[in-house]
Amino acid sequence: MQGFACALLGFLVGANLELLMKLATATSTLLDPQTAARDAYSALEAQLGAAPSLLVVYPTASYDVAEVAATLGRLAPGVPMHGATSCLGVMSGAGFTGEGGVGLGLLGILDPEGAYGVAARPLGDDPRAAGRSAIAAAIAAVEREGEPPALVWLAADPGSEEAVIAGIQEVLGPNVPIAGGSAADNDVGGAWSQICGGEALRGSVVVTAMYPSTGAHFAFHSGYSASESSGVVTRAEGRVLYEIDGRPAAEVYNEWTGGILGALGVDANVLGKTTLHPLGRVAGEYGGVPYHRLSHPDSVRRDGALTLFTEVFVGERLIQMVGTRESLISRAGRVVRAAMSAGNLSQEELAGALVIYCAGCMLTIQGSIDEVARGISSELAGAPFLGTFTFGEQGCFANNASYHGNLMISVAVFERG
Amino acid sequence: MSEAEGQRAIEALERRLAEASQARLAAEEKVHELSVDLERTLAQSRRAAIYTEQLLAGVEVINNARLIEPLFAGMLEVLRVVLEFDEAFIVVWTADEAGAVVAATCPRLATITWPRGKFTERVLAGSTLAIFDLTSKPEWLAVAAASREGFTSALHVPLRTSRSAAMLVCVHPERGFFTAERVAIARRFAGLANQALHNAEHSMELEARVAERTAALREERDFARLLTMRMAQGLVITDEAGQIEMVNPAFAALVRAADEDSLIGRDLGVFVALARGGSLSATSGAREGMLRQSDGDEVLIQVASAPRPREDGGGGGLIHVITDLRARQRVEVALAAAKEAAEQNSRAKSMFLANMSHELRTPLNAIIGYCELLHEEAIDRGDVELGETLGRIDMASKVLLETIGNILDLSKIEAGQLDLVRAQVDPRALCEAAITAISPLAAQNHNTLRLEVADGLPPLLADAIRLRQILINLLGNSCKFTEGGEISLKVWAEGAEAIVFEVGDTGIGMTEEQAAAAFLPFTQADPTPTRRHGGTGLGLTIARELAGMMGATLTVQSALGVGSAFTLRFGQGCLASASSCR
Repeated sequence: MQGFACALLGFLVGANLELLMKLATATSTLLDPQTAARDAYSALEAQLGAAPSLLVVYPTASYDVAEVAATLGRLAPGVPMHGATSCLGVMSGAGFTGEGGVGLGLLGILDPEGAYGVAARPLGDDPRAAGRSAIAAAIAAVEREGEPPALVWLAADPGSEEAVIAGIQEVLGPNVPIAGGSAADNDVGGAWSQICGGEALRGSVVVTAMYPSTGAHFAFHSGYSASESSGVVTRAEGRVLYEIDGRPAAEVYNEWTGGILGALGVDANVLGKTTLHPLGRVAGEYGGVPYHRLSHPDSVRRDGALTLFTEVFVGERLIQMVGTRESLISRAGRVVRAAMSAGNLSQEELAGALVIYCAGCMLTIQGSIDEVARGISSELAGAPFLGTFTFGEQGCFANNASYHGNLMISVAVFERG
Repeated sequence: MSEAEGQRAIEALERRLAEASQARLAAEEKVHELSVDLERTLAQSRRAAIYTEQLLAGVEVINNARLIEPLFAGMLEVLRVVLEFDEAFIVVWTADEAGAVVAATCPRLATITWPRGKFTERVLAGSTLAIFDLTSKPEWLAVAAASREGFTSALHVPLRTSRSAAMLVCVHPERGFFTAERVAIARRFAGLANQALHNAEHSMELEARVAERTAALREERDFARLLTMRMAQGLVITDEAGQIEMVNPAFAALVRAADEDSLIGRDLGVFVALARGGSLSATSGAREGMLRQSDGDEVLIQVASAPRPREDGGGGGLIHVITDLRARQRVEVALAAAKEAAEQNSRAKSMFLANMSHELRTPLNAIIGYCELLHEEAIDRGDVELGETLGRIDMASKVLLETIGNILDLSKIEAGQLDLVRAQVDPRALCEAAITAISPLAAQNHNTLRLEVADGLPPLLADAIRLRQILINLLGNSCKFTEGGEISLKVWAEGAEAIVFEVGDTGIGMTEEQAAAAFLPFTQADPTPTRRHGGTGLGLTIARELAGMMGATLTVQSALGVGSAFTLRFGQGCLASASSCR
């Protein structure tokens, strides 16, 4: 029995050796980038009681992001800094923060026993190589060469996230969870940018290799359900979907959705119209329930093709997904709950969370976005979280496969230890 | 129904349809969530069941494995199920040595010599670390390429023991196979591996102790066997019935058996018969008996028997040590004969000496008598020269007479023929007579004599002549070895316990060595041929012998250049009130 007792003791205490970690958030809607950054950071540091081990920065593109980043770099010298612009504002326990398209959100992780390495690379012509190089540099920044992070947090320009993820997985293998959100602006005008260290970057990818001293758990969901309409991609190139079942994609989509596109044959931005009717692909199944990664049609071309915010490939089956305002409002809280369930965490064990919420969804329910924040905060029992609104979401499904998708919600929750 | 009413009805129906659709979507979503939660719960339950099962399997391995190799092999197989590694090994460091693999799931990993670098130090400090690429760490690069071929990722789990540092290393061909989830599981199961390592160390210690003890016992057994085989005495071990179970070569030789084996199983009583009806089945000290040899001859032996100790603590059986007494017999006979011869020779010598002394003294007395007469006549005639010559002859004759007397006394004492005549002696009268007798000798060296006799001394039971002889001898010695000094004779009583005579002088004294040898025969303080002081060196020897025969002790204290003091002490038994004195 002595052997049994010792082994059992080791088994029981094995999981509780870590020290406590702490998260805090702060927001600002002040117009001046320096003042906003200074105020927010002061509040953040006051809550943490020390400089953070990692600083996550989500400003709107309406700021002089370079000034925001530089100010924070001066305030927190040596602190790894990861960020990207957010659409119209951010959300936190205080609700939605964004006045006239101006808002800044900070999240700080204080974890002296952990390690957080941040690095950025320009996407250039080879986003896959950029992903490879960025993750290697992020790992090297904390001298953890060869050691897989518990979580890779990602922010890139919209448009090549799949390649970036592939590049990261070339280095780490397929099992390390990758989550995050693509940089956004307020009007899809291309003003998005990324932040790494004290610098604002354009056309880049920034990744953080997270080695928290406690557990990090995640969930990746959409707020949509599959309809009975589906078809197979018969012609596609990158993010341009030409044909479904041998017919022009826009025509097929229009039939599936009951004609929400209206008259076809013109180049038109249809983001607003298609938000509740994205196209989905089965990314896996769990417990007999298929889960989908979504593609958001953003325009209809004269040739009848649809352009999407994700790549699609010939042979893939596309499913017409259906969402409602109510599901978009309630879903975020449920994703938080799913992330907690994945880690078997109670609310008391939570340190806080990072939330990625699709900007398209946010725009659809814009007036009710505070409800989304309240729902998340309720699930977290008041633990701090920071949500950003993105033009593309990355996350890890329950089967440990990481993907890029649209109209998705990606959540990472951190264990307090 | 009007068109407007119809339109309203349609709108109402569309609202209801939208609500129903929304409710369906919400319900589907809820069902999906519940399904996912159920699957997650089931998966967790399955994992928990596997972990519990493997935990118990690991405990079973720990508790049942008695050898190190099965212990580690069993433990690694348990961990393989939980951690899903491809292969694994355990490295252990002792002191400053490079890490050695103590267990491995495949042979090529067993030969790894693990260097201790920065990464390893982090692991040994308590961190469970995974790597997705073996070539990222110097430690892995130092491992032979053939050993790591085919593996890409690894998991390193620190193990703790009280004596050494150790690490479990799991490897897998898939890049990044060891996820954070597997790291967490590995932390939880490290306790099992720790316990296995602890048990292995404990087992090795026990094995070392057993080996050490076994070697010691073997040495003791071999030594005991060597003793048994080479001992001069015969050794026989019998069972409860007196049947021989073991003999040594000495016993086999004693009974003149062909070999030891031929005696096994025979009754010891066939060979040994104890004297006075003694029993061979009884424990005893040495007993004598006879041993019958195979050719019928009998040998006198001594048998000592002791219980035979058994491992189970029970009794039964005896160990007999048999000693051949023939050699002792021969020695005893020879010794008795030698003793008798020596005694006879001693008696003959003493008799011869006694006779010779008598034969010498008789004519010598005549010579002394006639010499005195002639000396007186020469003096009377005034013939000085003749008088001096005759005086020298007279003196030399008297010295010769004294010497012969001493030799005679000593030989009588040694031959046991000196008889004492014990009677009550008045110490004062005896001492005064001794002082009177020695006065001329004292005057020759200008010494003063002093007599101190305590009042009220009890009478002494002694031989007055021999006591006077002792005192005159002691006083004479003092006179010879003292010039212009003082010679004293003191007598006192120590209560009713003793009477003490002490002869002291202020003469030349003796060294410690000389004093120690003073009572040995033919010994003088100055042994050189040119010594100034005459004498045979027998006086003190005779004095001590005579004192001893009277029950007294004679001792000396002396210091060179200061003087000597001889103490003659008669104990209580020699006082006249005592019934007897030896």
